[in-house]
Amino acid sequence: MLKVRNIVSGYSGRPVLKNLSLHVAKGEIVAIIGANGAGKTTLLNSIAGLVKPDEGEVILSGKTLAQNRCSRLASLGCALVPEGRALFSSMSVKENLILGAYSNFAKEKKQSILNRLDSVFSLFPRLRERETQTAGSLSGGEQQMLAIGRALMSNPSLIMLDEPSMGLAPLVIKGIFEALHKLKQEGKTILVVEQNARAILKIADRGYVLENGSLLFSGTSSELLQNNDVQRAYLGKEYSSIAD
Amino acid sequence: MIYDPVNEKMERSDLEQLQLERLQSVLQRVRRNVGFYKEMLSGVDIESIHSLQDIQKLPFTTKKDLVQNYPYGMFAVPLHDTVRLHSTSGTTGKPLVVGYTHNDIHIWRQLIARIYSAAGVTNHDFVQISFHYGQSTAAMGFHYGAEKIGASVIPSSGESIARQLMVMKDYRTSCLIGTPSYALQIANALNTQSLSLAELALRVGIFGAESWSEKTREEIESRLGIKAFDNYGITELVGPGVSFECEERNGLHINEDHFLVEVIDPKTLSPVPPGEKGELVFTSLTREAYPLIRYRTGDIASLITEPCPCGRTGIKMSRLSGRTDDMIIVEGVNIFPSQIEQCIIGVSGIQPYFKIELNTLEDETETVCVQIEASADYPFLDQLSKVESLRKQLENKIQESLGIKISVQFVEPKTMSVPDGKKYKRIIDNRKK
Repeated sequence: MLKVRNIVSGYSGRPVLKNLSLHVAKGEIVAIIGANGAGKTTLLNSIAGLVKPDEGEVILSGKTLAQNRCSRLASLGCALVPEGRALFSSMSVKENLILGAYSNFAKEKKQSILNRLDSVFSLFPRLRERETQTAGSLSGGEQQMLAIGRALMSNPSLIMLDEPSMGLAPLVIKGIFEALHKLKQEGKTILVVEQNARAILKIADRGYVLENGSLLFSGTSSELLQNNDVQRAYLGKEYSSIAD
Repeated sequence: MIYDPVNEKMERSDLEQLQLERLQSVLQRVRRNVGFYKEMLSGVDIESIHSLQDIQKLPFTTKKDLVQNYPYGMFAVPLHDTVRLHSTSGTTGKPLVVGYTHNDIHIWRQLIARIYSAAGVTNHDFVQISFHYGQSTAAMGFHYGAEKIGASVIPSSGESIARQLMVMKDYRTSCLIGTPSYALQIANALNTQSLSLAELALRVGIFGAESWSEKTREEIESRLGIKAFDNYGITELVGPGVSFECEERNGLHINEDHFLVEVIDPKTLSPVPPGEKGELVFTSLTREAYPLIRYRTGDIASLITEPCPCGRTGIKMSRLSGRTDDMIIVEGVNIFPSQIEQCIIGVSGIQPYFKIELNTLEDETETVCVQIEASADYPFLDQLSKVESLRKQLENKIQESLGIKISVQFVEPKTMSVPDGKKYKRIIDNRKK
């Protein structure tokens, strides 16, 4: 579904990603983990076209995205849930969601958009309860649900999420990740950047570990969970406890 | 049967993407964690590896490098992260010590499971492992792989041939694992133990750890009544599990999702095209404890790129033709022991065990003497004229194959047989250097 090859990307001539390649197959949840500054967000933004890569290519559904333009990516069925959520805080929950389908207004019937709205409400019943509330008045967890729901309104085949658990309580994180798992079961493909390695590797099929803008490990989630380097760096295990 | 269809039947473009990702990440790891590679790659911009072909920008790793870093210098993880150590036989000096993490063992089991499945072995089979359970990789690799597919493992190494046969008959062994030469010894013992094939349930053999010819395969299959499969692997890379034959048996499928293969001319070090023989070079893409970059194996084979009817998409390698360090140059002619094996296998009166002795005469002429083990059940062993006739016949056959003059000597029966799949030194080079 998504292939990234040899991406070199950064800011003001300073490369953050140094020749990085990865792929996401249809129907997979793929996790990107790594420390702060490893290049995780830059990677998502480079794929989404928010940062223009200096080198490399992004291939989505067999089509090479030469300029990585955001609109082109959206038309190919890719949606980004950015870090910080970027909601319209003075607009209602419903308005935010409807805006998520903006690029589909011309090509899709109103009823099918409303049906999708209903399915988002089914996935996150809390959003239905707060349908008329402004986004700015929601809790952090509800805002994250809204950000994911808004991405789903464009009916994407690939959803990219940047730190969906950031700043949320453990119980809320659990709910968010359960929703991602449901989306996978519905056939969605998900690429997720996440610092909470343990939680995301429980639901992801595979993962990549970034370090200083390069790919250090890749493998199935169970392989990464068994990797001692990953355990020490991201799962909080001490040297002595690994042997236990 | 295909054990892992997702990876074994992967579209070529997807496989190459996976290989590139894994190559880029293993390069990061070895540069970060292995002193040898940190130095070796210091003059190379590994960020410029944009394609699989770019691997040619990297230097080779040789056995000498591994020896110089004995025992732990090539390890890419702290020692407490290793869960197992295996060693090479060390026939040419100190053994190499190879480490495995938990994940390495987990992946290795899956690779061996691919071998078994390709040979049609299932959880209904009884797998008798005659490889030596020492520090070498073969026995343990096949043991855990068999358990992975749910087969019943019979770890029978170290037992006498008579005992092996008893186990084979009584436990209803259906799959034999070992060296091809040991399989032939078992076939010989069938006669002496007065056992018939009908009393055995044996149907499959998976053999390796030494190169063996198609003639040897035919011999094993006819005498043991089984289908014999080849596989390839070396301890430095993982052990068995690098490549294996499917039911088509027209080349060995390389587990390309874990090993990136190249074939080079051992003299010029340039890549050779598919179909042309050269030295196998592998990069281990997923090994955590002991990853190797462009490792020159010394093994001679060619690559087969034609699609296989079995449906696997991995490139295949031919069966081994020999090793670069097995190749002997006599009077300017290249000779491989496998050529001699081809000539002597199946000839009655002898066993397929031989040594090649090289000497230099006073006039600087180089001589080749092939010592072959006589068969104990040869009825004419005490008739000089018959023995001499057989010797002449073999001399002519081998000379015709090698293109140089050689002599043949017979040695006493049971003086060259190798127990438990251990390797023996085939070449005795007494020539003046």
